Amino acid sequence: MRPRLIKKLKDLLVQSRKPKWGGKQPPLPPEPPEGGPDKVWEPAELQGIPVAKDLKTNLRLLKQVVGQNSDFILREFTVGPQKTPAALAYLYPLVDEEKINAFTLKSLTVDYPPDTPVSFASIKQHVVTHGTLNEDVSDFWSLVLAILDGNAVLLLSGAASALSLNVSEFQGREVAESLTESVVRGPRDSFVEGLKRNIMLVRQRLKTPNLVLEKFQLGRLTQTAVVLGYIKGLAAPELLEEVRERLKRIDADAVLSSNFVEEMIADSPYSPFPQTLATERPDRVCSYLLEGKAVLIIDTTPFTLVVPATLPMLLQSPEDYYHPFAISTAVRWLRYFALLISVTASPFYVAITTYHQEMLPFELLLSIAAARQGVPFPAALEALLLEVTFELLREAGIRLPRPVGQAVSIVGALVIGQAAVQAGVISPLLVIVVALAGIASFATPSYELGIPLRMIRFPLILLAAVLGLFGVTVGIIAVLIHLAGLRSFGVPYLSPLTPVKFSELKDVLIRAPLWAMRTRPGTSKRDWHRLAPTSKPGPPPEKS
Amino acid sequence: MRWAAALVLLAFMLMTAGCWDLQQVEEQAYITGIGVDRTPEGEFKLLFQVVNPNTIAGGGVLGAITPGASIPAKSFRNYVTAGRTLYEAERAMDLLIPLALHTGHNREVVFSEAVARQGLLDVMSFFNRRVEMRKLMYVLVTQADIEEIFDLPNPIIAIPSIRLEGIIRQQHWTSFFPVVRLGDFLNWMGAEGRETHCAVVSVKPTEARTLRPYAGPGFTAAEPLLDVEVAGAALFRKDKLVGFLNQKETRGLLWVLNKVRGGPLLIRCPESDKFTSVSILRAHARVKPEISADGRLRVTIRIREEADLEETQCKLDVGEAGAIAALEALQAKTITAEVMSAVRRAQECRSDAFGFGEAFHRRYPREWRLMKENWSEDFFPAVEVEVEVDAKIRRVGLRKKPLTLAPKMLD
Amino acid sequence: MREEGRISAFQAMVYQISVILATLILFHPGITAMQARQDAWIAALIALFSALLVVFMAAKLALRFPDESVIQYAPRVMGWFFGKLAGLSYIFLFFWLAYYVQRQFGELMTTAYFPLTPNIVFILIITLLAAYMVYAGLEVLCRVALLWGIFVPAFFLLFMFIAKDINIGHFLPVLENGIGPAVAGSLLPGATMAEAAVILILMPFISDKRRAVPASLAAVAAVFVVFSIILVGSVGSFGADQTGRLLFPGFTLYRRLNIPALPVLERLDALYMAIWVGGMLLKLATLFYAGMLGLGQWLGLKSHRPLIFPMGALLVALSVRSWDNVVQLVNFTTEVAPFVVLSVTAVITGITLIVAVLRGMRGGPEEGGGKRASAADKKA
Repeated sequence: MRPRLIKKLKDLLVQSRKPKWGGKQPPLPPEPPEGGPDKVWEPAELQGIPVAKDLKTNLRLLKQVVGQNSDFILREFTVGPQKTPAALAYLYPLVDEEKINAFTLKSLTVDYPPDTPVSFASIKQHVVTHGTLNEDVSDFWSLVLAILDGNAVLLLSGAASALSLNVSEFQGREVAESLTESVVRGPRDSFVEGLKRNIMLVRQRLKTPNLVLEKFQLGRLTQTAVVLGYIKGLAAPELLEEVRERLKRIDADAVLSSNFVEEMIADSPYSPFPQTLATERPDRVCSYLLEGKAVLIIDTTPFTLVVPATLPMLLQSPEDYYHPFAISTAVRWLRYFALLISVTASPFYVAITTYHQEMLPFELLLSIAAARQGVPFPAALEALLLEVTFELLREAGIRLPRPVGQAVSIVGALVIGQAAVQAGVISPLLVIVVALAGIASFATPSYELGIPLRMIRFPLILLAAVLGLFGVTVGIIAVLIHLAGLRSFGVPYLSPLTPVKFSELKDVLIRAPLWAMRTRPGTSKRDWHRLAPTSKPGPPPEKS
Repeated sequence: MRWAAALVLLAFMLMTAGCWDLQQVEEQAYITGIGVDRTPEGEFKLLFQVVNPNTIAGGGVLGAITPGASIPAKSFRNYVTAGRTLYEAERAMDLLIPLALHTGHNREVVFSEAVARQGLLDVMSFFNRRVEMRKLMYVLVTQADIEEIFDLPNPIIAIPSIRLEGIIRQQHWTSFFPVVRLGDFLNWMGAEGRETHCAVVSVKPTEARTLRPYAGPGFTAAEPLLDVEVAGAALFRKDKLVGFLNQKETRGLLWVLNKVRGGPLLIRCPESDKFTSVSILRAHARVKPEISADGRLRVTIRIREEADLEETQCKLDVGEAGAIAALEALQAKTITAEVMSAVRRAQECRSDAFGFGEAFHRRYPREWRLMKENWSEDFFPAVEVEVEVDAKIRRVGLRKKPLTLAPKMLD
Repeated sequence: MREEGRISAFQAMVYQISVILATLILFHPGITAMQARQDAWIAALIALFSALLVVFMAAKLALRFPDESVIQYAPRVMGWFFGKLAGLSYIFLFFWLAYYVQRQFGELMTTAYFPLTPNIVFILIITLLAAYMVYAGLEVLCRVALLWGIFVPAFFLLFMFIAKDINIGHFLPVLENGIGPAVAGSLLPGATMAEAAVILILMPFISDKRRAVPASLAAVAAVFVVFSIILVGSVGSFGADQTGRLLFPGFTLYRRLNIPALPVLERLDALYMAIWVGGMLLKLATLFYAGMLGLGQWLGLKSHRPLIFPMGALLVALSVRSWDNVVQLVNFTTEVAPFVVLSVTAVITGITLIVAVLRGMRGGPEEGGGKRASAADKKA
């Protein structure tokens, strides 16, 4: 008895949590409700209202819902020999009015074929010369949504549905060079805010029917299109199922940028480390698609998310693959080294100068000691101050308009660097160390990863001040444990380093020559071999 | 909520953790040289040489701040205290120095003859136990006053202890003194069938004269009157100093220990009172112990050596057949003489710095058990030593014929 | 029990190595050199073979019951009382080794780096970290262990630099006083290497169980190699006498390093410390984890996680109170530890294995289908 009761209660709770426009709970109202201009229309309510056969009723309601918008255009006319009343509704900023005039209005009115009956079926077949049509607009919610999405909706007297015509024209930014992930050699184009153009950039590169793009609408008010892209046969079905599951779980009012999705699908929501890879480079997205990863292309943002993301992935730069492998390997090592410096340089300085003086070469030790003579702060405080200053300069540099940015860097370099050293407030070696660490931190290809790495420095400096190198070691180990425990869509964050996958280390420890990367990393099972062994270049065989 | 509580607790832990071992880099006195002597009262006298970083790094590339005085400050200070243990003496120094003593960068420790003769076991505990004391520091013995050794001025390298280290690092030009680090010294001291030894440092009057003593801008004071010199070796039995080797004898010891890495060999020309110098390139020695049927101990030392001809006063034409061979034979004789003189001296002192005992231990473990108690006193002096040298000259420089005057000038 | 995840045989090997390695290279070379003198390398070899034997036995036993830990099947094999007792002794062994490791770690830190800091600070911090790892579970533990393994080549690097200082003479004469000293010296390293018997607890989580036996043996061989490097390195360059007198020969060996070309790296002991803290932490965490897992199973708990922090606190208290000073600790290491470890890893494991074989018991997919399963196994 009791369990059943509990189940009922649970069901109730679940129902109440369901999206309000999700199901078909509210019964159909017999009459379209009347409402003044102040009425707030809920999706669920609109969903319950079918498109009526009577055009007048439809138009009245439509006007009530969107009519007060200045950009809403409702064009009434008649169609065909019977002069069937019809109406075309759209928001003019979103559509290409040229298309509406040339291919829709003209063909429906002036050029209407004389012996054609007036119905959506025949209009579709004989009259309108558009590509994308949708006849299934049968309730008011879909109708309104179609209009808001940039379609023109054709309402016809006597039809219990509407026809949506895709005449949208998105006036977006032109494809430009990537700002956050620029390369020296390699494609320059990057994603923009428009979904259509972004998909185009991907499709241009991957001409396979197995590239699947599934569409999701997220955000109650924004209705942002989120496209899940993957290559059938390469991406693991479990991964895709998991991604779909997590996307469906999102019930937010808005998705304004990729981070709105990113934060909602992370495995460990409290971790500061990015668990998806955000990129604005279509070439990078394609390379991950080829590795069997899933991508989320999100409308209105140039950043595309790649899942699952691992730490080694975040440390790869697309440029690694655009240069010969020896150079790329060297550069990759340099980047790993930079990572090490950026995290440990200032904590090491503090630990060594306050605890482990015997570790320094004597001459260096003497110059540090001499330089620190008269510095009023202990080394740890000095390092913290300088690190904070550095972060301030960095943050200010982003916020300030470009012409003023110059001034900030001058103030930062001259006033803080030079003057503070000359005044004896800060020792010169520390300035070098902090500057080095700061520069090194920007060598991390992922900005999202660079920030947590920089933030780690502060607790590490504190630990170094309290327990010297032991403190630093402990701090780093704690971070490593955290990283080892992270997963991104079930994939361990540090793989293939640990748990080790030897076949994948070829693209982590080094960047193996392209002809040697014969197996596909990651989650894919089928189609494991990327290229035939015969692809290895070499001189032609001797002819005997 | 629980996480917040944990964080607060953690913060408290960090706060209460009191930075026990924290020591700012500029609040330490860096000791670069240690001297140990005895006071007339029988206490230990301890000398620490403390560097003044401001004068060393001052005005350097890092833009360090120097006090703006026009008279250069002394770049080091020597602190001397006494105590019954070295640790007591060291702590007595804290009453004089406004900084924390830091011995992690010490370069060398110099023992006075008095301390060394009395036995170093008592003082070595101080150096051996402390983690901070690195086993890489050099060990030296002096017959001079340690305070003088650590205070001789010299503009080349201002700090005497660093200068001393520099001299030791140049040992491969002569091989006239052993480079003995604390670790080696202690190992040998504790070893069975081997006695320890170390280099000797002394004070020597400067030969160069100051012809024009001049005080003015750009000129500094007169030549320093004294120099430190590192040459020769001190031999120990157990932990006590028992004798000294001169330069040549020291190299005799180093031949056997495989520690000769270079240096001049002086060879008398066969036909005249003139000399030839060769420089040692490399050498390798092998010690072969033997106990003959009648119980006599014999050691055969085989030395393979290679050298370059550097300078000759002889009428030597290296192109002539046999000339090199003759020179090599003479060279071998010189080396044999050096080794034999060292052996004789060591046997007189009854200090087996060569490690002959170890060699016997390895080859004759059973017989060794009878000998090990009184090895240095009874058996080592009786060891018969034979030296076989295989000396080679590899290169002769840029000349084949000897340098001669033009024939017409001779006429 | 909550699902602890799956690890591969390779990861199990890394786990075993982390259990053994850290202490094996801390105190043990000195003690082995003290007892076996110039024959220390022979002692190491004897230790290797005896440990291989013990671990082989343990792995075989574990493989008989591939889906359970020894804590779970021991009561079935030996009867409820004795089985529970055997299980308790394993748990005790792991916890005991854990707090023993904590103390060793604290002693090294205070002796070598932080003379003024009370050693409970280090013990507390390392225990907190270990508890964090135990909390994160087996998979994370293995992953971190593997990361640390990247440092192991540092030991080979060390060997490269000290190789020139090694004097073969320090190993002569061979077997001066017979085999006795070598056997005595082999006891401690042998016992420590036999700690790879932790496979008894790990087995149910290993995915490719067949390869667990060679993996365990490989783990022992790997730690033997590192141990030999430190042992041969320090005996070869200091002599057996001096090595025997050193508290931490590996540490002293690092301090002796002097690379003329790289004066900045002159003092490599910081690197040593990084390796060190990681190694000791892993050793502690792996032992702690094995103990917690065993305890959970022994008490029949659903999850051992709530017990982690109380148990950690208990271990800290025990580690601080059990020894008065470092000398006691070292003497304890020489005279007591090997026997305790071997009595559990060798004797109890051996008895369990013998009883299991005699009664023909075998775990497997079908419970209690002893005879049939064993016959099937023989065929395969």
